[in-house]
Amino acid sequence: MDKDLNSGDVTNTDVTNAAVTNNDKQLTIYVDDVPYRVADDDNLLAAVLSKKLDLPYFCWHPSMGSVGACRQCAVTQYQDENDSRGRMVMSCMTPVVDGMRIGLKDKSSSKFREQVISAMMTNHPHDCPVCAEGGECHLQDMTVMTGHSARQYSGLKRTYTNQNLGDFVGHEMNRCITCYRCVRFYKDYAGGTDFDVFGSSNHVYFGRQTDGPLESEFSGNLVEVCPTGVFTNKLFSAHFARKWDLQSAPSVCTHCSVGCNISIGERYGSVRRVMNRFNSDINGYFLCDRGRFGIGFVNGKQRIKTTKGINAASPVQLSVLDVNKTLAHLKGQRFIGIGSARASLESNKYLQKMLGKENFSAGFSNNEMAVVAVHRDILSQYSAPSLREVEQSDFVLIIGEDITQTSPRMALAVRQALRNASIEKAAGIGVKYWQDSAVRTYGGELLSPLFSLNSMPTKLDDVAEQALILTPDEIEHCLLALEQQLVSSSGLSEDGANDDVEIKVNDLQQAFITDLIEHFLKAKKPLIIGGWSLQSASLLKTINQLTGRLRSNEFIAAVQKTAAQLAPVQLVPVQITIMPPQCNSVGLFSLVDEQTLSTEQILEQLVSGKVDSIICLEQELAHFSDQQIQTLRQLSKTIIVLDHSESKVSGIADIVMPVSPISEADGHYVNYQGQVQKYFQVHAPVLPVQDSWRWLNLIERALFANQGLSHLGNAEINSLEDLHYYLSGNKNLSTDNDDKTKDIFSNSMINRGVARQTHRASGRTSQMANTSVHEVKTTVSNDPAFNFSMEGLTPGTTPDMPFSWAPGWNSNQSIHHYQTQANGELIENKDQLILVFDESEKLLARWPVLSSEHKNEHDEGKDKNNLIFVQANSMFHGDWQANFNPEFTQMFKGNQLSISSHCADEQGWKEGQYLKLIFTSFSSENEKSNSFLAIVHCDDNLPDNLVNGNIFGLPLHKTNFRLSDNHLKISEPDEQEIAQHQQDESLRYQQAEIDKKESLERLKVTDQTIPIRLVAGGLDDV
Amino acid sequence: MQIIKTVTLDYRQYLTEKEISEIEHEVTIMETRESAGIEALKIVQSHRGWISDDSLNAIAQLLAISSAQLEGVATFYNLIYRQPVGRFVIHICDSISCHLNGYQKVLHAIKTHLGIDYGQTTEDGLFTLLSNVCLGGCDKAPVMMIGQQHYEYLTSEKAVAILNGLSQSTDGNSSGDFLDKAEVGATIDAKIVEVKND
Repeated sequence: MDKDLNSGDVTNTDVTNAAVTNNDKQLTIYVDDVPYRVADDDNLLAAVLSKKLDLPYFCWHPSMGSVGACRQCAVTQYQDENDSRGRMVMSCMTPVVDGMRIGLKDKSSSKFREQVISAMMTNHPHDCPVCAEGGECHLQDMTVMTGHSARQYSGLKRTYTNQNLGDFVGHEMNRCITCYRCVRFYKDYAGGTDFDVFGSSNHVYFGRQTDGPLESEFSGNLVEVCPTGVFTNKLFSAHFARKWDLQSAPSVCTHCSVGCNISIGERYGSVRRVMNRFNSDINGYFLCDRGRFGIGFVNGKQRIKTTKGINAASPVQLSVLDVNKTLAHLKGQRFIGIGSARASLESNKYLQKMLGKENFSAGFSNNEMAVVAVHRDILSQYSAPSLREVEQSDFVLIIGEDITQTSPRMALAVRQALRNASIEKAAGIGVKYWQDSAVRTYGGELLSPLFSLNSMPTKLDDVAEQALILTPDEIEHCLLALEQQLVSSSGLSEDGANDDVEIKVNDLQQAFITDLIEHFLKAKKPLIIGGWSLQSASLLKTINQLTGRLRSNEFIAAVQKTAAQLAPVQLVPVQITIMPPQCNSVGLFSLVDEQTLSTEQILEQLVSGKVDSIICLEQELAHFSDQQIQTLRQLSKTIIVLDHSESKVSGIADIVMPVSPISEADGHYVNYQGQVQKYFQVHAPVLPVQDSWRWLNLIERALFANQGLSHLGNAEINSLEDLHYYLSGNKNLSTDNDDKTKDIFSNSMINRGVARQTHRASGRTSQMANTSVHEVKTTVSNDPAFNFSMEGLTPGTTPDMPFSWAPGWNSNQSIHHYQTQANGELIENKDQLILVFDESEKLLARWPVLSSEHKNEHDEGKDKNNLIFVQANSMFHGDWQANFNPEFTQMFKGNQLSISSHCADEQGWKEGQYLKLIFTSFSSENEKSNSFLAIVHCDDNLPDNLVNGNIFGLPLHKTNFRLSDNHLKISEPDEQEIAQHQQDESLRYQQAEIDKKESLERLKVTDQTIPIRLVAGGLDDV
Repeated sequence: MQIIKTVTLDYRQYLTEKEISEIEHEVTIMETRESAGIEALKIVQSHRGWISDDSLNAIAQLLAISSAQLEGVATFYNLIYRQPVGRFVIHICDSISCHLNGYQKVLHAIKTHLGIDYGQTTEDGLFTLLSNVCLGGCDKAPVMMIGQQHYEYLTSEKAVAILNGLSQSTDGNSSGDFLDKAEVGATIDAKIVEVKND
């Protein structure tokens, strides 16, 4: 294999470990008279753990710092080598000092730690057999570690009433050891307001004020943050397996573009849960609830498990020959391939290579192609910061994207960034950043500045210096004014053409801009975040232009010159990131060029007869209306759909090929930064479900290869490695120089033979006994990185850890054993692979940004039809994949139309009344699928010219348009329609309830019949 | 149907003008609004005798903090009552000095005299009995506190006499000085409620 990295295409970034230590200075401490070199600004507990020594703890968290609440990490500190008595200190609250001497093994601190556990055990129940934490319980590990092995207490235990915290997080307060980690995470770290700690002394209670679903987007982290079983994953508990029985593989979250690293656990052929997989640059220790609880779609009833349109000769199994026979009829047809941002990079690439660039579509509409062009342009100029870098920012400007809903983990990182002001303030009086409580107390309400310029209220508004809600056009206008004023305030003389015309803004906007400029000029690490939510290429272009200006040498020089006497100057040029909508959006962008077809062009080409058939690769064509789908059906000779679940397109397809979802597939996703990350098969799918690239390979072989129409030749593609070789290998045939992916494909092999199962996995010899009494051979993996077995290398030997475990550390807290230091990067770290984009001029020329017609029309504000409709984002709703989780469906609180009360008065609408919305521009008046009923909700945070919709089932692209353009008609529904709507909503809720129950029953049945697979390969490999 | 529409009424309709102005006064002398939480709870309790869920929600709204956060404060302090209490709340010390000096006998006498246990209120609504961890009168143990008053060197007889005295002073009127019936009664309709729709 070609292992050379072409540095032009792929950069190996070497990010320093700045989140943990601001320098690399080390000093020496003596632990039980053994010297260790440790980082000089850490606390003693982190230092001891960094050296892989066992010291029990509860309240300290590598990412949340120290509060000294649990007293578990006590050690004896000695004055000098002659001091044999020492004094007890809490190691998490003690800074390391050069030459410091401490004892872990001495009698007094050992006894003390044992007694701390002993006290906790007076109240901790004996319910380990029914506790979902069993087998990965930090409390259990720590108890064993301290040597507390016998019960002495015989009195009554304190008991509590538990709360119903919603569908995701279970609550069992009796297990609580009052370490305060949950409330510190939920409230302090993630900014939640509906969870707190109540009572005092022996009656402390952690929960909500009253029963009800947790409101934070990050509530699922309580499951991992809690050292014992107070908070557990309800979806996992419902279909439970012990951690040691789970087969796990490293994976990447499919739900947004951040690309959090996750570990998916499987048992008996069904996926059980998602846990965080530590990645120091991206998600660290935390995931959002969409990622943790959204995995249910792989077990959903909508999964496609058989082929459609292919006749199998044998009733038992489908063979390659069957597929070939069916496809033989399609020879000679001219195909267009539509890729998608949720299919793997290699599948998309393969599709494009197979059909040719001129026959490839990324599934984007004309408008989206223009957004892609600008986004690519931004990616080609600036490298986007990782979440760890985001956390180090001291100024954040968010433009037109509710990141709390579209990429929640990014929002959590932004929240941490805002703490930098108080961390810095505390550092001024010598308080270390890890002194969590002290920093928060001393910092008070001091926050680094966040400026939010959005078209809807967001959950970050509470910590924003200023949050201004404007229509998308006004946001753009405001940015232009901001740019102009920044330039003039920096003293940089203008030399452009339009400089004399001052861009006018209203008082509110001017106040925002003035405040922003003041803070921006003081910022050392400013950051701008934008996104796709408003579907506006021209907004992205404006952001790009602003960033370009702020990063220009003239601007920086001018700022430094004027600010030299006054304030500290900017040290790092402003960073920028644009959040795309899906997990592999950026990977797909890398394949888009000026030849790539938009979805409108596909229809045109079908009409003109240039092509006659289409292949949809994991593409549900979300923005096609029902009518467009029908048109597509009528115009196409053949529609081949490769997907994991049913969609509108699979319903009309001639041939449906079932593909593996994330848990059953191998491949790469590219996150918002362009970072290429591999996900691995957790378990082998049941045939005929297989990787989409295997199906593509069958199609290519049957339709093109033996006619000399493909590059495939005699190449056998049996594994991802083969595919990579094919996609990157034949360099003579690879005519394009901008082939971004070839080096990634040739560089992906890092580990070999790591076990997917724990060494304690049970039932191997008997779990298939009802199918065959012979012990079944373990499935052979085509990807040699991981084995479907407990045999193989331990998880810590690879940077892609399938799960985390270390001797004595069964919970995820074991991760420090595999980090260079606590909260540092993994010892087995690998180079990041970041896609670097070249200039996109041809693409920009092909898809120019249409300037918005409505700019600078401030006088129009009085026209009552001049409202702008923007669909609010919701992390659990809106996209196709979300609908497969009945829990998400049930969380929807009903369609809402938010509007300012002044505007409601003007329109003659009343709070609480129903309105009927008809989206007319997207197809003809096909009322059924384009009309929605919504309740009017007055929100005076909104300006008078903006309407926020929160409409179930409204495709994401139906946003950002004005009512006067006849894209959207709003009328008052009659009573019958209201009754119908209420019934529909009620039915949807009840259906979700049924789905939940049926899904669980179905999964429990399939547990009993695990199909035997000898090789996790394609169709003929059984 | 699980769609629940939450109608949150204005705290101004629930709290009296006097309460609001007293709380706002506390706010002006604190660094942040949320710091006035304890004082606000004390103020409303002084007017109403205890802190109901509605009072709690109203104060939280007034201070612009979450009700969970205010609940954390309210439940932390044993002198904020989250359940209705009698006109006289007896806090009897059960800490070490009182324990050594025989508070058990005093406690038994009180319980027998009133016919209630810890956490209960007499039927006439006059007395509520609670335990307390140290009242700071160890040199005068056993000690109990009723209202603002400490009673020291208690014996069973003395305790019962004190209770009888208090009982007679009220003529069986259980509503304390704090309860301004006219004001509070007017606001009962304006509760902060969750209305279930459908």
